Amino acid sequence: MRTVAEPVEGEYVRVEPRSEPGIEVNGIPASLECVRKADVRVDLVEPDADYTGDGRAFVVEHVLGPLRLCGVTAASVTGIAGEWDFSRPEHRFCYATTLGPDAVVSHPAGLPNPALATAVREVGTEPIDGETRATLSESVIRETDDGSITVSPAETGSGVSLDLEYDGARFRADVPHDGARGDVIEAITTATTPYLAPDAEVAVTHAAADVLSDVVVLGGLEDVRIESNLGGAYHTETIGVARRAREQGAVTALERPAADR
Amino acid sequence: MAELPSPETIQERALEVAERGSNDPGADTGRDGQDERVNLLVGPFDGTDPLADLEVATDPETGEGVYRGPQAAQAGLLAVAATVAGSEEADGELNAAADTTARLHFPDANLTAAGPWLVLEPLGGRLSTVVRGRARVSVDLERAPEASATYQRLETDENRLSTVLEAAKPSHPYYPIDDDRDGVFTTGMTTFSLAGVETSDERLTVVLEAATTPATAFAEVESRFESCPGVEAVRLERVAGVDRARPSRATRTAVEGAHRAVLGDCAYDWLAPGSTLEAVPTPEKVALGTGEPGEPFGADAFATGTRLLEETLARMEGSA
Repeated sequence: MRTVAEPVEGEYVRVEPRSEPGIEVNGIPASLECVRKADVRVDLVEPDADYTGDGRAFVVEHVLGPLRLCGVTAASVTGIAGEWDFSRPEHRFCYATTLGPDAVVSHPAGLPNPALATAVREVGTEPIDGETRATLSESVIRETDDGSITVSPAETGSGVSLDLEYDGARFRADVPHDGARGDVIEAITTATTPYLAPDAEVAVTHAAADVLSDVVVLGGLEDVRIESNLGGAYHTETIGVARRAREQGAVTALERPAADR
Repeated sequence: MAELPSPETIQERALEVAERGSNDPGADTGRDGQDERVNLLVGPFDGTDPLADLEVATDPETGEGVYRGPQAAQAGLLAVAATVAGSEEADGELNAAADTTARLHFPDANLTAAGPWLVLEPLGGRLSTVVRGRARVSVDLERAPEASATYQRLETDENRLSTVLEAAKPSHPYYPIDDDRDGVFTTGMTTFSLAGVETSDERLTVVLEAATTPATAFAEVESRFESCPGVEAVRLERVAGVDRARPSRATRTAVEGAHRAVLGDCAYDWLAPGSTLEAVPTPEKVALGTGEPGEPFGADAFATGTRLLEETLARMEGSA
């Protein structure tokens, strides 16, 4: 488990060190139990929340992905957006409730927060107690009409290897548990979301951040090989495969971080 | 799949339910003696009949019934409201709750009635508490002198008009606004539609209807058109501000919980200017409903809309 060495800020989020394993976003644990929406984006809500005013964190994949790319697995994330941008559906959602724009923790251009990644790399990360190493006992597959994803076991301590396809384009990268290479981080965090991407190359590069967010951070799977052919609202697939891994009882050696308990 | 009520049945049922609701001696009353039942309202609220020219057809893709007509979605939602509020057979807790808590306002509405308001709008299963505002923008354009050659005068008119219409188009640094037919982005932007062009010998006046947001800056709207060639004056008239409801925690908990139970999640978006929700003066109101504006209303929308309303009323009854 690693956390940021000092507090840092990126686009519309502040990230502070955390002494316990796991990441919280606006006080909500980044865990599968809190995933409320998973299609074109991923939102988090406390399972026992009565209504939206109790808290909801919007588009969390664009902060969880870059944090994992930088090797951060324990942190406290807070939204800091102070102005409304009503062209964003998530801001309209918040204005229609009692939430502020700080509930939305993503970049408006659909980027996985390049400024945050830069800031984290500048201050560095440091280890904390509570190391967890989760992998799978068997491969887990999820297929939909739009695509498929397979998550397979990997050697303890090896981290994540990605082999992704989107609309004919392919992206491969290794993400060790202490973070990816600088050029890999930069490529992924400057790639726009598929809906706004100019071509499939950019889209599949961006998808790496989403897959890390959903399968690795939210799914709690740390040493795995991920192969996918993504399409459509693919968070259904990426969150879906993480849920299926738990349903199948395929997750091994998972020590749930304190934020999950 | 639920069978769609016939257009005749919708009208008959809605009138019967509304009449019974307005005379209900057993209505719930609060500590101050006020009737605190949930109010149900379906648009349009401008005197037009949602059932006019309504027909029930068969959807060729699903084989299910579907309402078609100029106000098919509103007609479908009226069928939902009349069915749920008029459910007399107490064959379950939901129906029993619906019968005691809901008061359908049809064809007229007592908009000052106490209690929370549920306004049925074609929201595709989303919720809404916000109606965009309205403004009218008039842009005066100088014309070429009358003595000019006719082609020159018309060409000048056309160019200047085109420039104003171009300035009226929404733009965004990141989002594909030109393809945004569903309003994913433009619903939250200040947008303009051409209402008409008035012509005299000296000038053209372009009249635009503007849909506004809480972020609309009227000075920016004026400056947007002032820089167009030939502009003599820009006039801006506020017609209605943005309407933002503030339902209580109990009402939000009930409607959001119902949507989570039926759809797995709840989502909010904004309504178009002039939507029925705006007509209700109390902040204790929320819009919900299935179907899409201007689209046919199918059996699936009817079944889901009915479940959403039943579940919502049951939860509002439970929290009262």
